[in-house]
Amino acid sequence: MLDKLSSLDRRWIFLAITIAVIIPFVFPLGLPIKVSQQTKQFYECIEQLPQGSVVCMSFDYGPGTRVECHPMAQAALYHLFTRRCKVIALALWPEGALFAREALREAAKETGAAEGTDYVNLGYKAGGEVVLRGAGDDLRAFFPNDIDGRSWDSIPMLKGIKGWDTIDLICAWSMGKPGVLEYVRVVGGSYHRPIITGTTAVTAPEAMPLVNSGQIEGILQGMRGASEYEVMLKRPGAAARGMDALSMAHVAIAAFIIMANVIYWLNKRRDRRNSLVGGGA
Amino acid sequence: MKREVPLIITFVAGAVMIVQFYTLPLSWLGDLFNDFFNIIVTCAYVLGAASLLIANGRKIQRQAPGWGYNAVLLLSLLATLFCGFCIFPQGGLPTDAGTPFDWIFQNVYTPMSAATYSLLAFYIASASYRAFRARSAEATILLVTAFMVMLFRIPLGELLWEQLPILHYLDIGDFIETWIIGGFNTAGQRAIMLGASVGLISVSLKILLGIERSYLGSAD
Amino acid sequence: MAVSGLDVFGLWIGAALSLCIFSFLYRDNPFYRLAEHIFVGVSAGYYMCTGYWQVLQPNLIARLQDGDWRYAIAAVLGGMLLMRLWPKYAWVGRWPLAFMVGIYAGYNIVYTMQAQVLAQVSDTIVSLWNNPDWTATLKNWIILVGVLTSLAYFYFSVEHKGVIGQAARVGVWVLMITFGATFGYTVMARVSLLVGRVMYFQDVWTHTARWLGIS
Repeated sequence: MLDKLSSLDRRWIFLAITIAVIIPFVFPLGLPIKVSQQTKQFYECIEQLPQGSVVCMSFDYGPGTRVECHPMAQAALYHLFTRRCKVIALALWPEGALFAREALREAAKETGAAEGTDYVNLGYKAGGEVVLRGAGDDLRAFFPNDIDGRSWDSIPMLKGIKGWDTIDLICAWSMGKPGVLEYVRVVGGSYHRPIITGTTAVTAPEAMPLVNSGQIEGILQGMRGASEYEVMLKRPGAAARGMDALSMAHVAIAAFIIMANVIYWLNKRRDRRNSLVGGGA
Repeated sequence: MKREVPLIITFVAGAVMIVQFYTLPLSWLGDLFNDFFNIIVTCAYVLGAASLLIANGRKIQRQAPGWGYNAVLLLSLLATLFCGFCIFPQGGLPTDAGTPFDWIFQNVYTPMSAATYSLLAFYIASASYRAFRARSAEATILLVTAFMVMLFRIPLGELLWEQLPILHYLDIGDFIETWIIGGFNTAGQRAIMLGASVGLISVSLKILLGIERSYLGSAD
Repeated sequence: MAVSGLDVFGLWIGAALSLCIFSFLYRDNPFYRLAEHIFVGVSAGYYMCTGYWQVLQPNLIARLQDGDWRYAIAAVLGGMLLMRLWPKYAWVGRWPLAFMVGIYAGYNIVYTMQAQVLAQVSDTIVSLWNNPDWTATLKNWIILVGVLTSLAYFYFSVEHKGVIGQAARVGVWVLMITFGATFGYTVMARVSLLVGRVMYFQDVWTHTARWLGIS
């Protein structure tokens, strides 16, 4: 039995995880979501912005991690537009520009923000921090048009925008490299602009030294962080919807780890006993 | 010529980037180089697509085993390129919202990319079952930490913790955030960051000075 | 929100292709391989089109059309990169490659030093006594001792014996906690991706039901 369990076909594990994730969508648990200090800090960074502030939002994620970063972006856009802030979206990942377009249109529909006066999507540029440095003193030089080909001069909200110095806050949705680290290195380091971020859960622990040093002023950590933020805004979205399933899958994986360790210890004890019996004989 | 010129280019490009950081009069050159970089990196996408065309074209030509899949790859590549370059909406670009290119992005590229990534959930569960054992003191520390983060950074875990006698006085979510993630993890990640950064700086210096040349490839 | 037939068709295409990818969990099969090849082809096409319309068109072609001939240098360097397709002339591709490597190396020296070395060292040299509350003091101790001992573990120029050995041992424990936390968060990230897919399937179903008028 022990041998059978220790060499369990991985497809049984796959099946168990699938069931654990699906069940909460059929029978929702409605688990309460507690808001962490980090999320409160992130929320406060936006809350303290004066009306009319210009926020640069960078969509640095692809479809693979959309489920973690996109809800954060949607919630933050809602938050910013209801506080009458202006958003300049750009992307260091090719897919990010289209996600930005989607998120901006949804938020505009929800809040009544208008393209060109409340927000603009400058699209994607290749090169990570090279783009950020290149656009440093003159964003227009690097982003002559928006994503739909409209020239910089024809967009009213860009009047008065020059380099990073004219941006009040950087908000980067980041799944890796290039991402928030590039903003910290270039925009934070050289232009001293405040930076907040929402990262995937994988990259969150790596970002913590930057949070501790104040180089990042607020962070949302993965889907959990996104769901906390949605709760704070009293606007539950995709992240909050997935938290029950996330919980169940975690519990299933934790149960597998406990089971594997129990089997390991039982096997070890059996082997020790067998060797003692063998040694005695 | 084949190796010397690239070494000079590397030195000049790197030196300009360092100098423009300190001196404003040279920033125009830095900005120009940044723009060039942006363009050259994008040309690398063209290189990638072209080499995909050539490699798969050859396989189809030779009718290598599984060439049908290569044909599918080429067809999907060409279809995307056709939609992305040739189908213009009224007064817009082929990549605008609502175009066939956008449809491919929303309904083919995004779901497949997300599904491919999500396979990792299954493999990480399977790997945890097979390899995550408390074999030594160090492995036990790792396991206990991972277990705590996994179980108590989710609503169900927090709810379960609150049912525990006495222990529920400790806010487990706050404990993990402040002490494990914000304390020990920050210290460990910072040490890794410092070590990696010093290594990166030294390699970068070696590259600029022409000591490290492996990026140029073979000698010919 | 109104749902069109094309939207529903697109959702079902996406769902079918996702299922083809998931079929790999059972074992390698033609459906998976078909989806995999479609994915590679579409990705390459997507990157190329996006790169052209969002970078090459505004930042190169439009500028050349405006008569800014400095950008001809970038065009030539970009073209040289394509020479890598012909093995005989592949060496020409080293020039733009050298340019890119040089720029990154230059950036790494200044920005890594500023943001990842100096700022991080400065945040490690913190007050170990006069803090407003005990948690800040304890956290500062953990960070200082944790960073120093972890660095001691990474310091291989001396043998890990005596004080260095003891420090390195503590460093290993700190690193194990770090890796444990990272692993826990990695599980969270990977599971989130799966949850996202299940939500997608749920959306496919609800949109279809809405389109059919049964919800």
